[in-house]
Amino acid sequence: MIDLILQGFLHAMQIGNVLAMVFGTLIGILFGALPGFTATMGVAVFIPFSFWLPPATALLLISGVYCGAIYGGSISAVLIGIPGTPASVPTTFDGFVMTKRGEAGKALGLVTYASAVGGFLSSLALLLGAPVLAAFALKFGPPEQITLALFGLSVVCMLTAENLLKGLLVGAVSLLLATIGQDPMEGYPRYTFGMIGLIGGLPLVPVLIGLFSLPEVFNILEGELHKSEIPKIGSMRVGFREALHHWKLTLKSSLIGIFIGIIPAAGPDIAAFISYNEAMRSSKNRHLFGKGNPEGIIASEAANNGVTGGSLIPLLTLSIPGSAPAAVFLGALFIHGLRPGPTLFTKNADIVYALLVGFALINILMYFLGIGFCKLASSVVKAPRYILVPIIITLTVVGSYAVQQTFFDVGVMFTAGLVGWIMQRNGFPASPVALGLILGPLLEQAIDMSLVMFNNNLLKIFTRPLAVLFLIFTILSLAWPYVAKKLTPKIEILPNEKEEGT
Amino acid sequence: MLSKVKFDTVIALLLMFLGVVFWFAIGTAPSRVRYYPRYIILIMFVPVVILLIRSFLPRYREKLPDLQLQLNRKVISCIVSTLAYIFLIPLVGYYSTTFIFITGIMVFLGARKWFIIGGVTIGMVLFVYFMFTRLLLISLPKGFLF
Repeated sequence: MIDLILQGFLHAMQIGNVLAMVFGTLIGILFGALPGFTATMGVAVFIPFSFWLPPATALLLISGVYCGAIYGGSISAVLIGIPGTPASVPTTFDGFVMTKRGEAGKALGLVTYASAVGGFLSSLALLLGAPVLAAFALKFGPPEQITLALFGLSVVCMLTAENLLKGLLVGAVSLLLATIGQDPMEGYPRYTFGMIGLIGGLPLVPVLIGLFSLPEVFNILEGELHKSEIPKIGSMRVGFREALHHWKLTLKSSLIGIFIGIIPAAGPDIAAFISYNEAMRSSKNRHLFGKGNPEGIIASEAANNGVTGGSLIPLLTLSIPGSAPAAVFLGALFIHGLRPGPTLFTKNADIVYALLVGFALINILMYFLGIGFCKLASSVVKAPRYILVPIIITLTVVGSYAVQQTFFDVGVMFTAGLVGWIMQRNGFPASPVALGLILGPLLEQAIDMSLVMFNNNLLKIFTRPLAVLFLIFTILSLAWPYVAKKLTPKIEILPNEKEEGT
Repeated sequence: MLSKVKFDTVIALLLMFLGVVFWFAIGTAPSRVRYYPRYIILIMFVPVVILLIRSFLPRYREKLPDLQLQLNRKVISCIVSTLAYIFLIPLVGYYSTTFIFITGIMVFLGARKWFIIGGVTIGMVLFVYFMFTRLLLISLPKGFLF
């Protein structure tokens, strides 16, 4: 095996492959940072570009785009509060607050550090443990997906502990809105009210763009437009001491990302939310989450990048894609004549090991390229608001149009923005909307399939150990805010923290 | 009189109406298709009813925000101009509408230096052209201008 890894390393280090990795990662970061461009779209767009390249070079190029896009989505989340991809939504909670506080550099440094570590650890899992970990994917059927979705939804309680009733209400309404469109089993159109654009469901990306960007624009307009002070950016360096201080959280979040990546149908967005929830539950500084806590950024970023390598494990060994971008990646493998499965590692060892080693190298490269990109991108914070407002609006319009190239999506984005603004002004949290719309379709499909599997008796879920384990996690997650309140002495909140929270 | 109405009361009533509409809108669908949304509606009604009741309880009512009908002038202008921008893109064309929109918003928000206004507008239009039209081959609406 060591021979194969060394061979893979030498193959990946060929000049053409290195250039493909650098170009792919850079373009992925740029795509990810643009609102509306998901990692799936980035990978899909670059598959035709890779036709004329040798298989290893092509796969390294696409891997660079994949990893770069997942990471890049968080740059706009930190700088302007617009998550570039759905996986960056939890990063917005703390990252954007840090930017407002004049700590954009630190937030971007943490994003880059956690993304690189999460991605690197996932590539190690892919390189060293793929066949063993792939067995886990096979044990994860629809009943387990139900409990995973419920566990994910329980995050609402933790995220909105201070305003639980409104959080639960928004979560439930979002689950209902997620049922718009064809039902997952029979394709029967529901709640379309004669609108063709709704047959495929409420478009997730435009809703998230509108929900998180337009309220920020309106807040800027309501505030002081001609501030004399220029916001600080600060250093992007994450020191050894700080990295060491957060090593447990980084490792735990990366592992969450890897395992969520292995699970079919669960992607980086779900991993980021679950990891954020877990970090919040286990943190001593839980009252600082959502108020610019570095732990929130690390948890979200290490997990969403941990998915990248994790999702390729069942893909390469069993032909089961662990996430949406991985499904598109499967197409790239077929185009280049590679058949995923156990024989892939023996028949095409040269290409596969170049890809596996290259995946680890891409995540190391991503750190350095990312820091360089962030230094350029962070100047956006210094831009006067009369420049920022039209740029944000133009990007939200073109970004939501680009998803399906229809103006219906732009209308949905605009409506979501107005609703999000009204919600924000009246104390209704926006984060449960993202959770409901991401997890709703997964939950419904898993329930439908489980009903068929168990002859309409959902109680048989309790015969599945993994499903029961996730149910226990769900109950713990639901009860934790109350248990923690009882167990911990009253936390004294400093006056400036109070201000940040408002 | 309207200003005494609490926002939570209005939103709870609106969501109840939404729930009722969604409940009946799926009435003719096969049972396998309609059971899930209906369970969700029932679940949704629990926090909605609590929110409605709470909005009338004096203990909570004092802390709740009133229904505000007055909006900031700049926000209204931005909403209206964005709406006009979205409607005009398919008719006039993406690039010309974007050019006018960015220039207009910048001037409205207080930008006065022509080279900044021109630089940002042209820079943004060129960025979208190269990124979306040339690189990603996304065809943006042409309209009767361009």
